[in-house]
Amino acid sequence: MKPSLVADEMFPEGAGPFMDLDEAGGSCGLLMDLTTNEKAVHGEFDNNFDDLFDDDDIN
Amino acid sequence: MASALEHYVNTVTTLTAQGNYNEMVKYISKSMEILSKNSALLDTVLATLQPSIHTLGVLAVLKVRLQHTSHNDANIDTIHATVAEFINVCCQEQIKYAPDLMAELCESYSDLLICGKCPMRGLEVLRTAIFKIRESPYHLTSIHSHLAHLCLASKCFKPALHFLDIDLMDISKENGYYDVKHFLLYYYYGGMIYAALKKYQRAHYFFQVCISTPALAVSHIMLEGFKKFVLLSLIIDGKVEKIPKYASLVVSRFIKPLSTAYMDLGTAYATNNPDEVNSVVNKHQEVFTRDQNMGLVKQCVHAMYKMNIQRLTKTFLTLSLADVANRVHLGSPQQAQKYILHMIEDGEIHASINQKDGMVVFLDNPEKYNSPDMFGNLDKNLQICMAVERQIQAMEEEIMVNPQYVQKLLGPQDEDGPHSQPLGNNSQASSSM
Repeated sequence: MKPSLVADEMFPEGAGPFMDLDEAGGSCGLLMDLTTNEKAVHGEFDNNFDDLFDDDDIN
Repeated sequence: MASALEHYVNTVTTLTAQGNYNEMVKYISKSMEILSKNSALLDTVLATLQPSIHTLGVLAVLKVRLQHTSHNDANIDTIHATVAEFINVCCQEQIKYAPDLMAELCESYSDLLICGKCPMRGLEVLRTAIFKIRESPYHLTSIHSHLAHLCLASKCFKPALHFLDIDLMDISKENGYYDVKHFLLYYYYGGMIYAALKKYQRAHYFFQVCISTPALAVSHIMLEGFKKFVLLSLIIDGKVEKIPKYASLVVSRFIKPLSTAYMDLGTAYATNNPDEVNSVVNKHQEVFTRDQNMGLVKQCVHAMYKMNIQRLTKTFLTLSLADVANRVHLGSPQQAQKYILHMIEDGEIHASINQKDGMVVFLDNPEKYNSPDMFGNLDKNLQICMAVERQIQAMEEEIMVNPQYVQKLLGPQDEDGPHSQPLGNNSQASSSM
């Protein structure tokens, strides 16, 4: 039987394997690309902008 | 011009004149290989076609042209000018037939500007592209993430704020081109922009959306988002906020253990003792610096001093600056004064400092909530709440009549009999008992 997706209280540990994957991405169902067998993805994304949050130089 | 390209130009001109855009999309997707083979002659094709009239034809040529351009190319200025002009004058009606091509073009263009170290050039161009491609102001497109990327790379955040400030409700599928990476990057980069502008609440929300994305694999974007989520929750609440229940198990099982330095900082922060926090900061300094989060960590330390000062206002009516400095572990009365002045300026505390004797008097909040301004503010917020409620109702109604939803709701009844009634339907549930 395929369990139905119900209230949060049913999943104190998070939705996990009980989450209906068809519904998880909302109406578009676009967000399930991470259901691959790969252990880690998006390792190459650009995250090099220097430290934008350090305002010691302003002080 | 090679005969294959002449044929391309002729077909594009004919199909555009007929207004047969469906056929045009099929034709240009078939022609990509021919365009790639003749990449050296594409500038001649671009000179022949008019972007405002033959939008789809030019779009395909530009896409291939960009694929064959490197950031070292001496023609980068010309390419930028051509793309900018195309996006400015292209026909919006035709673009709707090939949003995937447009999105791909914008991605290649954005990558080119990043590699060419001139990201600022693309800001206005991508803004215009979003206006042209989006189905409504509440739709997220892949171009949103590229715009945020360019804003961060150029350290010019304002152009993205217009879009980031909108609460989005749907995603443009872009004929299947839209990818979860675009979604994660939009919320990660958006969070970074807000954090850089010290709009911490909104930044925290963006990182929360990022780490709550359904996932079965560890995304490096989510990992970096989680680290910033932890730091921002310390700045806002003074404690590490729980991961939302609806977040995937990946976050608690894999991402959290990969962020031990940040969790250690959270544990030290809970003691409200600056010495312990500073010791953890020094211990993990290398990690924080490598992650380019040292600035946010410093903000966390500042926020702790502020929270400790705020706590004093609940106990004392007056204190000397030296006492304040001593109680919150600041180095000198001057430092304490600096913190208190900033907090008064930002409306975080109400106090006055007597410079003569160096005493601070903590005051009650002077706001009586009876001014026209406050009433206007209240009214504005009520309007926002009502608009959100209307929107939620409309979305719920849309889901209720969705055939797939109705089928799913009734599905278990057919398969497993009356005992597997969905929750929330009292009459059916009671009849099955």
